[in-house]
Amino acid sequence: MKKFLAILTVALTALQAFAQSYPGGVTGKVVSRSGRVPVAKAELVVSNADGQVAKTMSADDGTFLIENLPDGDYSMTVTAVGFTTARVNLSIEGFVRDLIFVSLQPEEILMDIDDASFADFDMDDAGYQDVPTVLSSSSDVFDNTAGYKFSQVRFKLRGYESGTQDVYLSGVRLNDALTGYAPWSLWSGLNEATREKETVTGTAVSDFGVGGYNGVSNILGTASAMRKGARFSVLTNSSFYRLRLMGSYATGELDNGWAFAANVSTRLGGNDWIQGVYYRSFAYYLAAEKNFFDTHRLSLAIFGSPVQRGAQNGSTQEVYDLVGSNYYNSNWGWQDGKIRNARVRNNHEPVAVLKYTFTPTDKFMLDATLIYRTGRNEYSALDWYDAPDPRPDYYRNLPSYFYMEEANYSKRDAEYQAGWAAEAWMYNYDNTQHINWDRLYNVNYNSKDADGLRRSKYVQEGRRTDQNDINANVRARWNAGKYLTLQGGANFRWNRTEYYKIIKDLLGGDYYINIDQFAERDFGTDPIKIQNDLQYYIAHGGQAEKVKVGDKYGYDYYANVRDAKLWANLNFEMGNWKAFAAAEGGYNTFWRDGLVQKGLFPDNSLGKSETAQFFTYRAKAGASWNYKSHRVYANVGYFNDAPYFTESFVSPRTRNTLAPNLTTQKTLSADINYAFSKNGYRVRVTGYYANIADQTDLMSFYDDSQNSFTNFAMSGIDERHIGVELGFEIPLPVTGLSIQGALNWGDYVYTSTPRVTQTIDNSGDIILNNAQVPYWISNNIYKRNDDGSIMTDENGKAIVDRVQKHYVPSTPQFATSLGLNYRSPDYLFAGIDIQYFDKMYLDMNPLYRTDMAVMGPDGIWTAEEEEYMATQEQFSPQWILNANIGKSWYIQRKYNIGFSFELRNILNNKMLKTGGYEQTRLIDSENNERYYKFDSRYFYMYGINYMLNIYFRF
Amino acid sequence: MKFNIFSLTLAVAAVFSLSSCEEFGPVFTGKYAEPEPYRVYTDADFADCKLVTIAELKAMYTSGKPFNIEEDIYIKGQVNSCDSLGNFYRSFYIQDETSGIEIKAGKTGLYNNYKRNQWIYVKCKGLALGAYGGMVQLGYESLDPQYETAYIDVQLILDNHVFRGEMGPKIEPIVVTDPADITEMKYLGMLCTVEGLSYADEVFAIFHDDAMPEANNIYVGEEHVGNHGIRSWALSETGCAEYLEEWKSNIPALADAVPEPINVSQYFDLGSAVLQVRTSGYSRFADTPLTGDPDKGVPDVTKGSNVSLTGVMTIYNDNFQFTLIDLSGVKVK
Repeated sequence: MKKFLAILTVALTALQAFAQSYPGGVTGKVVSRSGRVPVAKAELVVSNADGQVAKTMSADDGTFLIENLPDGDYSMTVTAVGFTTARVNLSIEGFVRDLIFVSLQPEEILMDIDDASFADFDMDDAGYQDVPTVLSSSSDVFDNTAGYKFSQVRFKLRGYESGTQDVYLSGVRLNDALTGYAPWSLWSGLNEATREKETVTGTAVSDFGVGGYNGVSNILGTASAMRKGARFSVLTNSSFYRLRLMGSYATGELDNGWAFAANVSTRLGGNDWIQGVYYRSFAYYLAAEKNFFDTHRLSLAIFGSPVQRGAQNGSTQEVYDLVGSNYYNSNWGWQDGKIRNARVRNNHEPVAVLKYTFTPTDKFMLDATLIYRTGRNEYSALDWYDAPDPRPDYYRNLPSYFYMEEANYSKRDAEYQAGWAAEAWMYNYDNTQHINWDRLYNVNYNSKDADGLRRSKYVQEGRRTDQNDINANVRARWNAGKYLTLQGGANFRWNRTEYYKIIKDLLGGDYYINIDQFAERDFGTDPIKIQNDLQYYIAHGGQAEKVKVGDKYGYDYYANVRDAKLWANLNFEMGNWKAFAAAEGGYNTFWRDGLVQKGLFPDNSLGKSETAQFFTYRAKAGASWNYKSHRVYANVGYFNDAPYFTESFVSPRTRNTLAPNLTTQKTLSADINYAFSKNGYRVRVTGYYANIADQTDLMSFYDDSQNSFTNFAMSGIDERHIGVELGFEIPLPVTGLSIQGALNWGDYVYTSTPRVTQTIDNSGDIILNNAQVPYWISNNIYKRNDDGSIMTDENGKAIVDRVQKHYVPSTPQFATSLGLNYRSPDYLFAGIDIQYFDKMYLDMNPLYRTDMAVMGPDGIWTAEEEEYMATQEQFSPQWILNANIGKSWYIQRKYNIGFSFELRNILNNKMLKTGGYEQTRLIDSENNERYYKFDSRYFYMYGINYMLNIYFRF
Repeated sequence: MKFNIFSLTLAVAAVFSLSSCEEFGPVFTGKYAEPEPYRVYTDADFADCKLVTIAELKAMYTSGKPFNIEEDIYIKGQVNSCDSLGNFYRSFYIQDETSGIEIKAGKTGLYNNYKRNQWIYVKCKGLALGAYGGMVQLGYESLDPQYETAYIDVQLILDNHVFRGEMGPKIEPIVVTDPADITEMKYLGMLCTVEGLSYADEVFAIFHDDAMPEANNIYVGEEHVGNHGIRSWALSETGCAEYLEEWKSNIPALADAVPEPINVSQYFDLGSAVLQVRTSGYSRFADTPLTGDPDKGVPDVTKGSNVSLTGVMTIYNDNFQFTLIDLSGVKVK
């Protein structure tokens, strides 16, 4: 009996152990983030450190209940077809926790932001740059809306330049070593491979570096990061390229630890708006990764984007009006019945990424990355020697060259010629509107030398910027304790880029002679000064080289950049509080290494230049406080950054001279934010501020007052950016319907009077030596009488009405979008939105803001001249209406097929200027008292256009 | 909406059909066939026009009365000038057996399109006939009272009036040895080789006191005596700067002169006739000294009376001007 009782006790105890129920559990309702639509059949899996503990499926109304969970920490994953997987951390403490709503982010096909939207405009060597910032689609409620919706107006986030956005790949900052630009073009067309990214906005700190003040994007780029499965899509649109085919396949991490991924795409064809712009691009990406015992990971990815793309040029309003279209492109002409564009980008810059990650514990991580980038970057253009300018909209071909109504232009005598020129333009007689390839070839056919060979007068050149860029990076993260996380790293960059140009096409000739025709114009009798390659000239008995297709000519030099950085981040987290402090120090050096001896500067062109060196540093701090669904956070940072190679040499194509007053750029930036997210309501409000000081800029252009090409090296350019960002998403009482909006209200102005040193390109002679550009920061607007004349006081002095500030150009400082979105339970989505843009300004030409230009040839200042010459043009505000619709079908929970269709600028607004630039030339006046400006050139946003994307996933 | 293969194929097909074939040209080939050579015009192309000689055309002009040609006439001549070396600017000259005339085309780099010795047809209807300083020219109707004809300058007008013909034989310059041939203006606009010239040791040039239009003129050589130190065919900007350095002290008026390309007239005598050889400061041979350049085979023209020059004969207000095309025609016997 005792034995039986003992066994029974043991058995019962054992049974009790098995059958013991725990009071802990979790319940809730799975809903879609948009519109709180319930999600049925979502799979919820609860796991802890030991593995899976419980699993269930949500009911038709989205509800679920998991019971019997012992106390402890768990992680619950929620997966549902058509949504991104959500992960929730659970802490079970002896009761059933009600999560109320578990929101899932719908996996809609966001219109991929193709870098085609930011295809740089051909600024015709005018010395300007206009590269908008890219907002990647992220979960942030403002970035999400603004990122895509504002891209068509080339919106710059907070008004900051492209280079301020830090773009990382696999933890390595990959912004261009020479210009600082975000390197989106390197993976152009690889949307799938680069979709997974970590982003932070503004001055927030990131996990992979201190970052700047305009956000950080880290594209993961490894094989395991790419979403598992196969995807294929076909896209057509009327604004970039006719056809895009994209395919990708990723295995995800397999059981044996390997992961493989591939992504290929092609973009082909032209568009409905700008002739001559076409794509012939491909992209490839291959990656492999191996996970060793969950402790070591090695990943290799190789990708490239061979792109061929025809470029668009901006023209003056006179030309647009003559042609009858704001979308006229002067870069192309008919040849052989086809459109041939003279300015074509032809790039192939492959990148290899090798990454090693070491995670011995879940509290420590170390990774080391090596990135190598090489390849060819070519931009073609026409070049000509002692022959008429081949560009169709060259100013001497326009009616305005022949006749101007105002008598002071002294252009009233060629009125008949003006009429003929206008007719030729309007009716396109003789192909006046386009490059006349027939004429260019025939000039070459008929340009025979003494030996009967054809010496080309017109050629097509290819300007090359071929980089060799090596980045080595090491990063570590340590969860030091319950509250503290330490991160740090070191980065080294070695870059050597060769700048040169080659002959692409002799256009029917046999050779082209390698001399400097601008030097020849000024020093025609001196054969030494006109040589581009003096060593060749001397070695060949006083003959310049006869170059053929593929030969280098013109200029040839290396840009060398070396950059080293060391950084550390300290993150503190306790309860609802988080704080961080981060600092980075670095050393940056660069120099030019000339490979040919220029006849104009024989002692200062061949070999190494002086080395520019800078110590750089960055420091940031911030804090955030969470309370339930609210979050308040603020960041502040100070940045001392080195200038870039491209703005640091006075005339890098000809000589080794560094620009004067080279100094680091200093920026102070801060932002304060409030975010709220609950039950489908999302809001973020941000106030941001930045003071950017000591920027430099280099422009080269023809100065009519000097009758020469000159270099304009500006320094001490300060800007102040201040503004408010608002993003929101509000669900409406109707299920599935929500309002989404974004607003940016900024005020970005110039705040200093920069200094300029102007040198003559051909001789190095200094025209302006560290002179002020007094009208850069602002100009006066004077009071006017009723008849329009300037009002003067009793002394005859003009009366100031107000001081007109000058604004950071080429982005709408006021941008807003308001939309209505609908999402149905069966994966139909539709939306309509209206946008308004204002406070857009034209890029300023510094020459027009000097005393010389304002005062005119007589050197006498008048109020009229100041207003005329120095006022910055503001574009008129514009409204845009867009709509989209799409639907996804899920077959057997495995296959997903769908389409999305977007119609943009439904009202066909063709008046929105997205940018442009002032030309740099001055026109004399009859009475010699003033100058007139050349007309500015503009780029307009496309009218109504569509995009249709059909995709398959399995 | 039920999904099926059929509707999917339809959708994909729709996508493809939205593209146009033409724009895929550069996409798929990137290659362009080389254009045809220019059409060569012949007499047959002008069968319905009336051919006049250049002398006949010039005879239609009365001094001080420029006019637009209404008759459907054309002239045919060979190009005898060349602006590649910079001594001709925005105009070219054509000549037939009877005379030569200046065509005020207006463009630069004219030698690229109108080659020396090439036959050129000019349909005159719609163009203006006038004169400048006595030199008859074909141009466009001028609204500027200072000039009887304006530069044509608009490509469309040029293409409708000036036509390229075949390359002709090399023009033999007319040999001028008799001063009367110059003073009687027999060969205006034609290519001539004037022989038996002697350097007159006279010069004329206009400097400016400011690099602006409407600046004050500074005349050197007005009195037609002496070379004032200008011993090259013209002065380029560098040449002018060097000259001013040396001669500012000798010629007080030059104190304010700015260095810029200067057109220079060098005078040569042929018996009683005076030939004013005018060279542009923009020409490539501007700084070549009159004493010659042995490396380039240019002789010294300052000594003796057997200098022979080849160029285009023109006139400006009673001065017989001569425009060199290049220095290969400078010879001394």
